[in-house]
Amino acid sequence: MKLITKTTLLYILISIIVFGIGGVVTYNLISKEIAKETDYYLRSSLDVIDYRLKRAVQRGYDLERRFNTSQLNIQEVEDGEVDEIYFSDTIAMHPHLKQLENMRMLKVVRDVEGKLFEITMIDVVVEDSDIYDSVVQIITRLFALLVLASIIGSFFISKTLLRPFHATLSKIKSFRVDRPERINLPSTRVKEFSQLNTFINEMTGKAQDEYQSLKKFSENASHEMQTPLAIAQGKLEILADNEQLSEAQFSQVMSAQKALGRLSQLHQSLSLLTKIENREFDQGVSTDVSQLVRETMENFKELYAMKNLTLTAQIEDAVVVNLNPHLGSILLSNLFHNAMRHNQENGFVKVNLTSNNLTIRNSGEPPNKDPALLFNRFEKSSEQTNSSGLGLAIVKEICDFHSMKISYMYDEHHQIDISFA
Amino acid sequence: MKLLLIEDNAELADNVYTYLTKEGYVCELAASRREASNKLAAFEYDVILLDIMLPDGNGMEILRELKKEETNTGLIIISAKNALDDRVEGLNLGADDYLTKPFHLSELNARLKAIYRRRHFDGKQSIVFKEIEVDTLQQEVSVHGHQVVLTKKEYELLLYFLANKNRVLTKQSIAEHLWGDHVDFLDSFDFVYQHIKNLRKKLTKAGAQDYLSNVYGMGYKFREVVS
Repeated sequence: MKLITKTTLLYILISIIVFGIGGVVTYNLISKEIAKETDYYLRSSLDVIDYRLKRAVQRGYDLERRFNTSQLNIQEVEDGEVDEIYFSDTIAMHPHLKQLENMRMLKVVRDVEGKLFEITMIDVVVEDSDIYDSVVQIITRLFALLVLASIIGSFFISKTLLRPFHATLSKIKSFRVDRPERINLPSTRVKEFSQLNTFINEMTGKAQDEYQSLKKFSENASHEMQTPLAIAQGKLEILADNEQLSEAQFSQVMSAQKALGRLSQLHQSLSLLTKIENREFDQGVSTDVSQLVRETMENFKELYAMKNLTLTAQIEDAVVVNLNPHLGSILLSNLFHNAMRHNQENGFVKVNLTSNNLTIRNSGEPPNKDPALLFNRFEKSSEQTNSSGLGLAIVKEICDFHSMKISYMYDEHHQIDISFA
Repeated sequence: MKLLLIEDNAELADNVYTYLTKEGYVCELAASRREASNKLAAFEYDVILLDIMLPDGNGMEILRELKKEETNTGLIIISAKNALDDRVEGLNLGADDYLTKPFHLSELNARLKAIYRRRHFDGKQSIVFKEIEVDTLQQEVSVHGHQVVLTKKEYELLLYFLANKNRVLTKQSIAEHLWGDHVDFLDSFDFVYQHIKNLRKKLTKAGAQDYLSNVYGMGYKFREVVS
């Protein structure tokens, strides 16, 4: 969910609560105010009645005829507390609507010319449900207006206020630590964004510097290692050329040479892995994998024949995949080599290439290791002491580099599957 | 063959010098770019072995200068960097070959000869060793004038032996020569053995003498004189 959507929703949620409470408060205030106003109206009407009553009594008018209506009633009473005004709620017939309605009633006893009169006045009060309805209507309309305003507002905020943030985001997305170009985010007027940009500028710059120095270091270390290796290997070669060497001496020279060869190969594999990890290779061009597979098969044909392995292949023509051709041929060589190494006498290797995937199946003993660990570095089956344990790690790394999926399974035969999509 | 070895590491230069003088080449050394430029200005060489990382500059510069003069000098780059870019740049600039450290001296020797052949005889020269003749252009081998059909690897193996006559070739250097160093070929010694067995069988069957001898079961030697 986008930040602006989330804040807008949160804002609306808070508004719901505020408007709910606000509605209750408004309702209470309005009902109280209306009750007060009704009482005030009754009281002020009483002043007029008082005056008229006094005059009517002095002149001896018929009170019944003169005053009593549905809303006013004046009666002579024997006793009562004079001038004590009582208010109460009652239900009475509405004069126009002709139905029972909530009314406010005022009762008072007046002493006029020595006689006691009880005055009862009623007036219609505004009904609670009417107030409630109005309040709800007002609140919902306001709320709808607010939601609309929030949505429009958030749209504009995200377009304008968050613009520097989006700009930063898109620059970070295209940032690559292995490229020399700095990210160079501009400063903005918003303090937080400005701070963020400064921080990102510094951090990415530092990451790039460190990446470069690490790369330089591993490159240098790699080069510095090759020269002594070359010297030692050359010395041993010259030594082996000596006719006077005894068998034991020659054997020792060979062992030393073999160990050196192993070291140099290990070193090469590791630096290849590092280079792929550091993305020092081009992602690649459209490569005819069918052709590449056929070439690799051709290279291995002789070796397979020597091991009495039957090689069968179903290769779809012109399978083109985005691949670095150099890495592609390393990948295939490693796979074909593995299919041979982990095979048995008179075994088979089956290659199947379609536009979506490459599958290599070969006979052989089940793996004595967890297949999930197979692609890890230095993971090798115990009896294969001659392998470096990096072949499949390189294969995996090349697949990852090209976003291809690789999987291994064993059901009577080894099967490695690479899907290009 | 006259060679100039441009290499700043004395030990490594000594290895190459020892190995190649025994082969009968005239080999001169230059330890810096300046020294190399001086020698190149004064003398002519058949092949130059060039380490591209020199204390006083990049060896690629020497390559550029050299190519301006359009000589018939062959050039092999020796580099500690196994970087594809460098290899491509070097070959584009006109180097004949690119060898990554560490390398086998026998491999260097074989490549030197191939370049020399290519440069001086347009690759047409056939290698004749007693009754064995190798046509490097057609990639055909004949014994006593009769063609012997070899597989590609057997052919490469024969050339490798002919380039390194009377030298001990270890199984490892043979394996690397045949299959390169991309794949973990440490278990490939059986294949070397099989290839040599097949090659020997084909050659002797065609009437050649058995020049290939085994050195203590660990290496091989192509002897000019059959003992």
